[in-house]
Amino acid sequence: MYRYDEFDAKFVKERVNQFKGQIARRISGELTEEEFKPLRLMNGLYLQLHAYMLRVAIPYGTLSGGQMRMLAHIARTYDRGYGHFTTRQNIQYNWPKLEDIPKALDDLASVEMHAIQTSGNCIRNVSTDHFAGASADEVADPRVYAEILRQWSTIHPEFTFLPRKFKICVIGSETDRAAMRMHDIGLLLKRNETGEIGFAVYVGGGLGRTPMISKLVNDFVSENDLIAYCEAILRVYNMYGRRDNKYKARIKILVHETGLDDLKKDIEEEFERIKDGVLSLPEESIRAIETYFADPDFEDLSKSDAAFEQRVASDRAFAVFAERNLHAHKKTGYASLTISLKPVGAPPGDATDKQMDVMADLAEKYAFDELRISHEQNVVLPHVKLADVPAIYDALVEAKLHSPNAGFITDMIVCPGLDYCALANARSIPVAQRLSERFENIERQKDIGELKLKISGCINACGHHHVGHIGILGVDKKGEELYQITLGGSGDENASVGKITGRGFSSDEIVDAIETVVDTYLDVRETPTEAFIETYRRVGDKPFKQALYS
Amino acid sequence: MKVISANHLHGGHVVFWSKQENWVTSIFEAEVFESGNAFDEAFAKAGLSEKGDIVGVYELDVRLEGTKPVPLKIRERIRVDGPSVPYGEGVVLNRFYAA
Repeated sequence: MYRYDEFDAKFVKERVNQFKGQIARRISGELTEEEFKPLRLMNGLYLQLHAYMLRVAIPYGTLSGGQMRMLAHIARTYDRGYGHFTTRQNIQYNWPKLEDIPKALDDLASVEMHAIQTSGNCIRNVSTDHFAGASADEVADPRVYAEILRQWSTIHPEFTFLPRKFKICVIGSETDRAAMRMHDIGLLLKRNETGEIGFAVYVGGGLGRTPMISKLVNDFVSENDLIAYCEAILRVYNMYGRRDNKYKARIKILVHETGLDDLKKDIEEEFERIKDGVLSLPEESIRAIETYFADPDFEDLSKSDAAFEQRVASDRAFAVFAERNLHAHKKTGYASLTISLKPVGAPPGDATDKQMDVMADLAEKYAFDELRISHEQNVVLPHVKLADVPAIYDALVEAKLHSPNAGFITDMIVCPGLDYCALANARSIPVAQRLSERFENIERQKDIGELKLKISGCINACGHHHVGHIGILGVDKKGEELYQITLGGSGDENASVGKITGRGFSSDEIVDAIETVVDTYLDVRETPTEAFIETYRRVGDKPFKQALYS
Repeated sequence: MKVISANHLHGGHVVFWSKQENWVTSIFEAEVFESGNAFDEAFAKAGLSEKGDIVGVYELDVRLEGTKPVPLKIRERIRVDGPSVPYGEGVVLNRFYAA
C-alpha cells in the first residue's frame, strides 16, 4: 500500500489546520454560511437533511486494518456508531457535529486519511477495480496509476474550480468491475504491439440526469504520458465546459455538444503542446510508486486445501458463501473474499463500528493488512488463503457479516435516498430492505443468478440505476414517492444505459413489480445459465412491459 | 399553514421558530402561521439568526394533527422525524439469507 511521504503528511496536516481555522471563523461569525459553504465542501463536509455529513476519502478504495479501525473510531466517537460505504469507494458519516470535525480530521490524519476533494467541482477520488493487484486477468495493477493520478490531482491549482465535479477511473483488465465507462475519464490499462504499458483513454461517461457511456478518445497513451494526456483533457474541459447551467456542465455534455472528433482535436493539440515536458512521468518515479503496490509475501500453496474442501462438503451455508463470495486470485491457493454489506433488511453499504473493527482484525490476521471498498458498496479482503476462509467465515458469522449474496439480486447498489439526502425525492433504503426480504431465499437467488439491481432516490443517480440490469429511480409525483423501473443497463465492459419501462409504481407496488420482472425473466430465459442481462438483450423489453402493464 | 425551520450551525440538527421567538428542536413547540403579515414579520426576524448560529432559514407547509404541525411533504416529514429506517446498532439483524 502507498504510505505518505514527508510532503503528503505535511500537506494533510496543513490542510487540517487550515480547515480548523475556517471552522473556528465560521463559529465565531467571522465567516458567513455563504462564505463557509464552498470551504466546507472542499473538505467533504455537507449539510444534509438532519445533520452534517462528512465524506472521508479512501483512495482507490484501498485501506489498511489500522485505517479501517480508525474509521470505526470516527463512527463511535463523533457519529452514531456506523458509516456508509459509497460507490466512489469512500465512507460517509451522517451525524457529525461541526465542532467535532477538527478532532475527527486530526484523528484521520494520524492514519494518513482525510476528506479533501470528496466534494466540490474538482477531481474526486480516483476509483478502480476492487480486485486490483489480486485478479489474474489484469495487465498491471491499476492502483499504481490511481496513486499517480491522486498525487497529480490533489489541490491541482488549475483544476480546483472546474465547471463541475470530475471523476476518473482506471482499471487493469478488460473485465470492467468498476463501471469505468461511466466516468469523465476512463483509463483501461493495456499493452501495445511492442509490449509497452499504456492506456486506452475514454472520455465523457457519466450518470446523473443525462447518462452517457464514454467514448474512446485515444487507443493508446503511453504510461509516461498519462498525466500529460489527462492534463490536456482537463484543460480543454476547463476551457470549454459549460458554466452557465450546472446540469450541462459535465464533460459528457461537452463531448456530446462539441462532437468527439472536434474535442479530440483540441485534446491532441494541447497534448502535443505539453507532452515531453514537466508532466512526463519519469520511469523511476513510476517504478518507485509501483513498489508500494508490490505483491505481499505469498506462500507457494497447492490449488486446493483439505480443511477448506471438508468445510465446503460438510457445511451447506459455508459452501454457498464460498461459491458466491470468493473470487479467483492470481496466486494459487489464495482467493479474494467479498464481505457483503447487504444483509436481509438492512441499509445497503452500512457497517457499524464493531463490524469495522472485525474487518480490520481480519485484514490484519489473514489478509496482509489490506482491505478494499468496492464501488458496489461491499468490503473485500483481497488476498486470503483458502485454508483461512473457514476461520474468516466464522468471524463474519459472529459479526453478522456473512451474507452469501455477492453479485446476486440482493447485492444492490443503493443511495442514501430521502432518509438522509437533501437532494433526494424518494426513499431508497426502505425499498432495498423490502426487496432483500422478498428475495431472502438464497436458493431462489442462486436460481436467478447474477443480477445487478441498483436504486437511486433522485435523478442524480448516486445509486447507479441507469446501469442496473434492473434500475429503480425514485421520483416525487405530487408529493408522493413514485418509482420508475429501467431495464437493460450495465456498468461492465459491455456498458449500456437502461430503458424506462413505462409509468412508475407506488412504494406499495414497487417490490411486486420487481418480482414480476424477475419472474418474467425466469419464464423467458432459454437456459438456467442465461443471465438476466443476456435474456434482456435477446428478447428486449416487450415481455417485461407486457407482464408489468397488461 | 406554515412553520419556519432551519438547521443549527453547530450540530446541524433541525430547529423550528417558536412563539417565544427563539429556535427549538421540537416541532410541537413551533409557531404555526397562516400566510400574512405575522408570518412575514416572523420570517424576517428568524432570518436575522443566520448572522448567528442558524443556517438556511426557510418556510414549510404543514397541517395540524391535534396540536402537532405535520409537514405536507414527505421530505419535510422525514426531516422532522428523522430517517424512516433504523440505523447502526438499531438495525436488528435476526434474519439471514436462508437456503
